[in-house]
Amino acid sequence: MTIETMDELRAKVIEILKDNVDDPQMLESIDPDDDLSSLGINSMTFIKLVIATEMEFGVAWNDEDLDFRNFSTINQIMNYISLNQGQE
Amino acid sequence: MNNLASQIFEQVGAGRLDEEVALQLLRTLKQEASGTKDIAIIGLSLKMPGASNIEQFWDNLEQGRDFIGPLPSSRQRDSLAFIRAFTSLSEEEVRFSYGGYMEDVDKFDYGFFNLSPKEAALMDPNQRLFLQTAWEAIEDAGYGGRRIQGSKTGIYLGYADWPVYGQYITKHQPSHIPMASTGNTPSIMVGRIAYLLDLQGPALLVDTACSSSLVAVHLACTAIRNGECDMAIAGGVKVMLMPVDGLFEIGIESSNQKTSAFDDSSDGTVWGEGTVAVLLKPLDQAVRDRDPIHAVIRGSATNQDGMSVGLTAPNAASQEKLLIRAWEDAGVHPETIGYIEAHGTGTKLGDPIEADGIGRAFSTYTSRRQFCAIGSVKTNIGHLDAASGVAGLAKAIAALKYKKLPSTLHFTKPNRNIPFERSPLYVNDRLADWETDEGAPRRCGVSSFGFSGTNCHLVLEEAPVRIDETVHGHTNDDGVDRLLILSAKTKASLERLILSYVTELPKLDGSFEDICYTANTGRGHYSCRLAVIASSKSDLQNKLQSIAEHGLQHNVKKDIYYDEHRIASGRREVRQHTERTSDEWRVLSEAAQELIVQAADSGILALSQLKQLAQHIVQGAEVDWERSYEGRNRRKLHLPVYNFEPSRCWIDPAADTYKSWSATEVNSAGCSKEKSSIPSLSSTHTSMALTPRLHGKTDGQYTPTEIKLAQLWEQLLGVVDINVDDDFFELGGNSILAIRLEVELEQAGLAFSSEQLYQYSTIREAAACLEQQTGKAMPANVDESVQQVMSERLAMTDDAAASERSSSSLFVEEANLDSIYNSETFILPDMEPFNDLYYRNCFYNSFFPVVNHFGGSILPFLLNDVIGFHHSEHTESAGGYELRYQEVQPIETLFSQFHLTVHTGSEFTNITEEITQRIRQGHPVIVWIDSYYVPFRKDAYQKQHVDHTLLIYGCDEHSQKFHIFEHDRRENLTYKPCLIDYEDLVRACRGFQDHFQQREERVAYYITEYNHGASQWKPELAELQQLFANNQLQNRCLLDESMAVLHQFVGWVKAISSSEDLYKQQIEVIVETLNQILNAKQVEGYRLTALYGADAAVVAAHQACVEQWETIRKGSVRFLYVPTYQVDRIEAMHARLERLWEAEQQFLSTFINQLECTLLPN
Repeated sequence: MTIETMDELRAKVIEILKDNVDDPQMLESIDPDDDLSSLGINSMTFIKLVIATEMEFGVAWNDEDLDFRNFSTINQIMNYISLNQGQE
Repeated sequence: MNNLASQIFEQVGAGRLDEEVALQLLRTLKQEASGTKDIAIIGLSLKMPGASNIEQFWDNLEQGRDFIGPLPSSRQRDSLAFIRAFTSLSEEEVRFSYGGYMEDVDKFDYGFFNLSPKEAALMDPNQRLFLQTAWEAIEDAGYGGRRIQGSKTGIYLGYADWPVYGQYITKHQPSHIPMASTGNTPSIMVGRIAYLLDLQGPALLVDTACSSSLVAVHLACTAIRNGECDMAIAGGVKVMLMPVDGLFEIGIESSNQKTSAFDDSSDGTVWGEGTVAVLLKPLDQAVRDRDPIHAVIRGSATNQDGMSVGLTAPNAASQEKLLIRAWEDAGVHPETIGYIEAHGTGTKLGDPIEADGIGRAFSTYTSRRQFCAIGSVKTNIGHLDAASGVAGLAKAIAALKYKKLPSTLHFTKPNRNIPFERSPLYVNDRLADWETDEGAPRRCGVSSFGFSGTNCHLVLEEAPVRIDETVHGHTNDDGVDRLLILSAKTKASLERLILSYVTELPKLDGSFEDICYTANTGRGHYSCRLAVIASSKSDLQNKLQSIAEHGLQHNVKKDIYYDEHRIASGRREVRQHTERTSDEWRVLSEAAQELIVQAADSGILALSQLKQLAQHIVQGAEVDWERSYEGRNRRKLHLPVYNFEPSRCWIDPAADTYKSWSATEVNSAGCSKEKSSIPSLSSTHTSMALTPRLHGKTDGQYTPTEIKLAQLWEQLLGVVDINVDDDFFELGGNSILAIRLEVELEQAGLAFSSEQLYQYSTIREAAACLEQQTGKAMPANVDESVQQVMSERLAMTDDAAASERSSSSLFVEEANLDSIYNSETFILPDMEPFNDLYYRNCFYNSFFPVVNHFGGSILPFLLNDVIGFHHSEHTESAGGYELRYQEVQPIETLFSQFHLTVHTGSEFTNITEEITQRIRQGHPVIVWIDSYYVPFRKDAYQKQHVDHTLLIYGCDEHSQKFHIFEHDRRENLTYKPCLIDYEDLVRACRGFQDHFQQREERVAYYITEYNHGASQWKPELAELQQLFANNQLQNRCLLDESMAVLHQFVGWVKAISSSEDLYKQQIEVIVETLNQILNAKQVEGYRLTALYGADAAVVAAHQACVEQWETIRKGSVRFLYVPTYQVDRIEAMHARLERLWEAEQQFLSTFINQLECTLLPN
């Protein structure tokens, strides 16, 4: 799917995060540049998150290219998705 | 098309298609076939000898000026550096060639493009010049700002040069290669433009030698016609860096420093410089979009000489075919062509061949004589090599625009080999009005031939007359007050822009509203903004004139607003009045946008509202200007374009390191390759003054780390004036520079990764991060490299912990430091949670803080194990495989080495009392508990029974709470200080007894007591290395066995994963095992780094294994969550398992090697 605006993208990313963190309520107060590890994202949930974004945005990453650091804030996730979508 | 049309007819005939529908289809078909072929040139910009825009260029042509001259002396100095580098000429021998030289090839507005002055200086001038020229061409069309961003626009650049600039850097400043790489990679000349403007069409360089740029235009047109892009930037660029007689000559050079095309005395050409960029789009679309049109490209063709008389010799027959094809493509009768801008190099051989080719082509269609003028711009500015085609194109466009045929110079007597009297051609040797038959558009051709043999010809037509459809539209202004915004990134640039308007406005043919529309919607809005409210073009002219005379002032006067703004981060300590936080900015923009919407909906804004809008805009509001003109059908005009800052950007020959480079090469023969390919700045830049100007702090006090960072920033970016809150990337830093910074800091003993820089991108933040890392207490006896590793990890976990702390106060009661001073509380000092590693089990995460608390080192504990793969039927792990710690010494021995006495017990009698007592005696206590009863364990509390340890290091009688370290879930290695109620702890301890001690006898608590009297055991690094090597080598058999087991494990995983069912059954336990393996691998890596340093071969070999393991884990976790069995993914994993096996073998042999080296007698 294509995402028209950054706001839409942000909303989608937060939606995905909600399903993958312990306490979805905290997402409402989090800044897009805050470290997501405060929500309990670790190397395992990271992969869950990756899979969810892959399914949502129709991108697929090689396991080799996956880097936790690209998923540590909402803004980074957004950048990573838009970057990879652009390459399609 | 005909085929499709006849099918439509058939369908209508058979009654299967409605007639109306069929008619519609046929109309569309016809339109598509004819309408989309013509390409409009809507934007044009150029830099030529003696001209920096089309008007000046035309003026020169009209006046018949010849710009061939000597190389300016300032450029001679710059050129000498290259001549010294690449030739054996002595300074006296150098004869600079005459040529058509541009001014200011060394000037570039690096700040506008967010480049550091240093990187800009290392960038090939061809790249810089074309970047600015392309930018101007876009603005010229009214497509600046957001209008072009994200569009399907292609970029086609004709460029063919010997890479002098980059090669100079390679040879003399090799340390700059990383920074110079993008600026000297030819393909990035177009890639950078696409990147900056988010252009998504094709972007490529075209090299067909001299015809490159015209071929680029041809390819751009073809791509637009094919739908590969909606618009295209096309052009060429040529700069001569070492124009010396006898160098780079190809044998067609003129002997009298003149290009005398078609003249009998001609004997060659003179080289010149220049750049041209055009913005192209389909004509019909341009008309619909009301774009300004310079001229129309009706058609074009390109072909090859094939096997001509010589590789580089022209061929009349192929030129003839070329012209015929171009005319056919254009669909025009050749008799309607009034002028041909010839390739016209002025060579004895080339000119007659060209005239012959043109004559032959015309003869197919007409026998008319001397009706078509011919000329060559090379007589004015020289031969621009790869850019010569677009130079001719620019001349042809100008001639069409001004409806005049400029003279070709130095033509006194026709070339005796050209029979002009029998030819359709005549040489236009004087300026003439360009007449055509009534109603017939002016048409001309442009030729460009490459000495590669690739030829190109374009057919142009003058722009269609613009018809004003709108009622208000025409130049008669309606007297309504309107707002015009002009902006730039610097005040000086804006002032120059205002001057351009003052000069250009009187000549502008367009309504006042169109001027405002183009300026507001067709330009980016930068930080220095001027807003003028005026009621007509002349009113605007007067106001701009007065600004030009009195200068830009911040205060409002006579409907003139000026302000500068900068978006600052909220964290910036001192904000200047011109800086706004993003929140303030948002509010401002919303207010402004509301006014815009109002203007769009009601069609007009009251003067008071206009004033308000002007005020907001100059303060930095961003609005959707397009919205305010919705439905108003405004036309875009050619308005003055951005006025770039002419800052000198050039290689500094004083920074050459060639000599010292070769010297260090000899000295460092033993150095690793990696080091020599990224030489240190510090060794190559000793001459650079290390006095950056730092500011941004109110007290003016800067820490040594901040100063060190500022020095490096200055060296890397070339900026001298740095604010502690300036963003590295906004100052021109990029990912390559980030890595350079990492390397430099590492050499200065500071561990700060390029990834961290993205997070801490200002000096203030980066310094704070670094200071926090190094400020941590380190075990005194550990090698420096360990400290780096440790501090890096500490930094990472601390950050996570810090953010966790701030956001998790709901469920974790934080330790209140004030309570230390409360007499009812007792807290052991120097206690820090240990989050570097997960070693063996949670006991050590409780125990290692105790070791550090007593001033010991954890390293001997970590070194006490042989870590190896093990197989047993009785474990719960995957297939019975696990990575196991085999301790060499009993742990008690290690305790006593540290002078620690650890009392253990299996049951408390009175838990609270015993613990508080021990702590008050200075003995930390570690207890086994059941996490089921620990309230802040999110994963276990009231959910599952998990045995776990807690370190208790303080108590508070008043609030009845213990100070402990705990994490909130099992997988998170983020232990942090917490408080737990006495009652909860008692319940958790009893829970452990009930659930875990029933089945087997287990220790319930450890009381650690340090013998303060004993002399501390502080092993030297060499001693630890020795100890470790002995431990490992004495258990060599375990290591070999481990490899055998690993091999089995690999086979087992492959077998399981080859069956979908089995894989699904086992995946959970496989992931669990992989997690455990990776934890142990981390311990392994930690101790290797500690012993041998981060650069050791054994650490690299280990890291290679870890990477393989991690990828395998990622794939496995992926399958765990999405159990879709994909054969290709499985096969990829099998391949990776093989590589893992190889990597582990490699590691083992490197490891053994390292150990044996350690034990060798010195």
